[in-house]
Amino acid sequence: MIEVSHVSKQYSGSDDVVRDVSFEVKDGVIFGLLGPNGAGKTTLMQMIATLLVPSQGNVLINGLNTRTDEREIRRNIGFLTSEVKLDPFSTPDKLFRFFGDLYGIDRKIVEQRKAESFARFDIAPFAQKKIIELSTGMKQKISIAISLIHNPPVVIFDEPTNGLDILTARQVTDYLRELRANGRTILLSTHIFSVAEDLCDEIAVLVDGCVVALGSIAALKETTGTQSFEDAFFRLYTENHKE
Amino acid sequence: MFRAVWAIARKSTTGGSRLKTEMSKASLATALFFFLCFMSTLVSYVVYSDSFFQSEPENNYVMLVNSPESFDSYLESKFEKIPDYFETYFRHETSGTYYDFVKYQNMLSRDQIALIIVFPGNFNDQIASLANDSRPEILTYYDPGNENSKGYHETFTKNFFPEYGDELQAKYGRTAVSSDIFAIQEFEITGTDTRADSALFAIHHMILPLLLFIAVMYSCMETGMACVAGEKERGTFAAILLSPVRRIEIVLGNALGIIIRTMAIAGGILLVLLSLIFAAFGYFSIVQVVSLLLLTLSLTVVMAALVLMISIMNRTILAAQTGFLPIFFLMLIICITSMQKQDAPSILYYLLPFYGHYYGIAAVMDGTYSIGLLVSLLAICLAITAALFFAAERLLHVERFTLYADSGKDLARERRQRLWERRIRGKYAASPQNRVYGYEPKRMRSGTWLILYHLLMPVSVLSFFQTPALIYPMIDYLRSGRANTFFEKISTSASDVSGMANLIMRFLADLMQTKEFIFSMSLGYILLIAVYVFIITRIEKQPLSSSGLGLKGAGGVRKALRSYGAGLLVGLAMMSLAVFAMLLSGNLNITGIGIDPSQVLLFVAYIAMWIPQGASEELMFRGYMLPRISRRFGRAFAVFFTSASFALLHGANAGVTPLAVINLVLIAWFFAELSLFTGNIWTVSAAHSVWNFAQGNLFGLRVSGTQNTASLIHTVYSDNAMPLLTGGDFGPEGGLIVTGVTVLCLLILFALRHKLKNENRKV
Repeated sequence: MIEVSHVSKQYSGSDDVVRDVSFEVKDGVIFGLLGPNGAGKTTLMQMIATLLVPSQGNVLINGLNTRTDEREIRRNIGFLTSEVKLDPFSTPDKLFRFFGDLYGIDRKIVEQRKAESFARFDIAPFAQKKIIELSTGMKQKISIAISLIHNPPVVIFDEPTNGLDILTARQVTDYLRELRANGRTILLSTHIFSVAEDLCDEIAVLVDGCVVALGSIAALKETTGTQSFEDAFFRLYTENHKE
Repeated sequence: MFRAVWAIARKSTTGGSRLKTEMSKASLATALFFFLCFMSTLVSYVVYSDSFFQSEPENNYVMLVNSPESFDSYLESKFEKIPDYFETYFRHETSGTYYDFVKYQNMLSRDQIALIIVFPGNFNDQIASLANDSRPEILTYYDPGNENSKGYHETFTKNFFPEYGDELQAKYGRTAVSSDIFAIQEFEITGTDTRADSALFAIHHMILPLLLFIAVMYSCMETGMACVAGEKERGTFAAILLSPVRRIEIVLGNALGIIIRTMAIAGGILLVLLSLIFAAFGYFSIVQVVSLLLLTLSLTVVMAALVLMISIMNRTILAAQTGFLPIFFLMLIICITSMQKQDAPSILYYLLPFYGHYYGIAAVMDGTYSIGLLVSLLAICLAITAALFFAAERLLHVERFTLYADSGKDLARERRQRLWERRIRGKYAASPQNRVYGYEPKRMRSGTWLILYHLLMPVSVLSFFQTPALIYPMIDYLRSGRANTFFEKISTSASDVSGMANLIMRFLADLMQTKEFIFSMSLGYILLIAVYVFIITRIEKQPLSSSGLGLKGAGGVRKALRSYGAGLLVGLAMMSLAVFAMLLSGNLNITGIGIDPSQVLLFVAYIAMWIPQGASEELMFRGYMLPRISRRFGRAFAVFFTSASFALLHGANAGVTPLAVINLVLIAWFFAELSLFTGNIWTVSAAHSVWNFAQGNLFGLRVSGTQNTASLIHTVYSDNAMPLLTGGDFGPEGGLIVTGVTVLCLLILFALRHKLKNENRKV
């Protein structure tokens, strides 16, 4: 359960990047954050993932406040964004060990999880290869596997299918469904409508740092009076975008 | 907790440093270059002045300085049994200086000479005109610790001198004089500086600590910059921040990694060096090795903490390495100052980090270090490291040091910048006269930035290119005998700061008179012009004509040459006018014409220097600065600003007076107006060069406080010269006559401009 209440963020000397955002992500659902580039999605997710501290408002994850219980929250979330990269000179094998150490997970369990995710994503043949030698899709799969090494109940993915081919993207979306079936709470941001429409139980549309619509996709189409989700989004954007 | 720390440490020891360390390689090269330069200077000094490579010390000579004939014949009579005794055991020397303490001390302490006897240069005259209370003094220098020297001295003072005195008295018929005919003043000089000692001194106080410092500094930097800053640059740092490790664990882990790697390198170097020294001299104990290792370790720990702080505060390896530069220079200064200190420093230095390590290493090698000092230094370093770790931990809670991409911020900043630029451009587009040489900036800068940049730019560029010009003359100077006298004077005036500053100024002025310096300066000015041309064309991507260096277009070169020629005439006319006025008013006398053959090369060097010198200063102030300031603050302010900063830059020269500053501003003002009038800087460059040349090398006057020796016409200020008119020590630029000439030129220029404007209006 993620509760975001009245969260704003401004960097020193500039306008608000995120303005008074509130929403709730219930357990066992996939929640989508939708918005154009620069809408504040990444900043919002970084605040939820404790990388940033909100200027105003609070974020609670399973009842823990990001301001005060950051270490406990980090144990409970798996965060993935295109800006979190893997050490190009390390190997998947070494990275598993390294992050296992950082999370303080028992070595045996690390080995077990590694075997599981290597099998799940077909990483095993590349286990001893350097990250720099691997393809974009393989890197993304390894990133996902590592971000979930501690088996967190809450999963936050920023644009998880960005830059991936259809096959790998499909593997990722399938995995997200699998995670939901296992009862995880998933927050994901995207600007790809098909992904959002297929996957998300609920979405929030962000324009210029504000939530302009919140609810299921069907409800969204209904309130905007449009046929497709894309039209609905476009209408919301033109209505709310300033400048 | 330890597991995470160890994981991070292992990562930063091995994986982290493999990326992007080209910059630190450059730093290593710089450090080694400094080391080599230093060593070569040292070696050249040692080779010149030390008996380092001589086979055997000769210590049975007696040196007679200014010895009168009567004493020589007295000695010959004493040693008549051995006719060649004189050639073998006595050396003669005449010297103008009576007290050449440093020289004699050096000779004695190197055991080249057993005894030195110095007579006053006019000993015979003094004896002949002997008054009751004034007697000539004979100085003796000897080493009481050396049996040979002591024996010689006793023979001379107990036997020879009294006998010789009696002989003299008899000769001059003064047997009635109650006391001796001359006095003897004895100087005891203890010679300890043996060859092996000086070699060991160099190893203990220079080579070993310096190498260790370089190794620790380089390795810490290479590893440290690649760990946090490098991980931020690669984007892998966020993953560590996202894991539940404590910030302090990140700090400790990375520090541990840096320390392990550095100790592997520095400790290795230390052990290799120690075994080499052991093989050569074989003299130290295991306690010394352990102390050295502990000192290196604590140096590494403090350095690692510092480097880590810098690494945390920066986003990229390059930025972090740039941030490390001040520390690098600080270390360099510490090494150099420690190296130069010959006697034992105060206890405080032993307790300061870095200084303490340097002196500590030297003291351990000398065997004069104590456990108490070591423990205290270690404790102090530990406290400092803990404070630095704590600060680093706090820094990791600050978003701007942990966040990798805040695109939102950048976007907002860009938008603000665009708005502001539009406003500024609009404000000045209305006044086209602010566009000098057709310069149009590619991007607008804030006023503060622009002012600071243009204030600091000439100073830093000039000091960067002038300092290296001193290196060669400096080495040359150090190898010559004059250096000894200089250092002696420095050490005697150590307590008198202003006296010392004076000495140093005089020393620098001396160096600046050498043709090597003049040639290097000329090269420096050419490089300076190249740097500016590079900045203008490659970095700012502006045409050269926008800095008043237009050459392109039909007849461009011819036009430029004609402008340059006109400038030569203007400069010569101005200076001639000033000198003429001085001659007419009886302030200046011509003493001769013609150049000393030995000075011809220096004269040529001066000509080769004034040409790029004038051009570079004009390019800096009138070519580069003027249009840039004018576009932002208006033309009038630009003229004022360039003139004021020009005067300030020259205001540090010797003998500067308020009038000199006013004159410099006026001259700069004239040059600025002239360059605006002609629309290029060719004319002013020529005028500037010829102005300085005529002043210094044509009329033999001082140029902004700098005296030239190679001059075509020799002049001297007459006895009743008025410094107010002539400028005195600063040269004519400090006098009212130049004020008059400059004001006259300005008025002529304004009149010309006015006339031209009216004509244009008519057309």
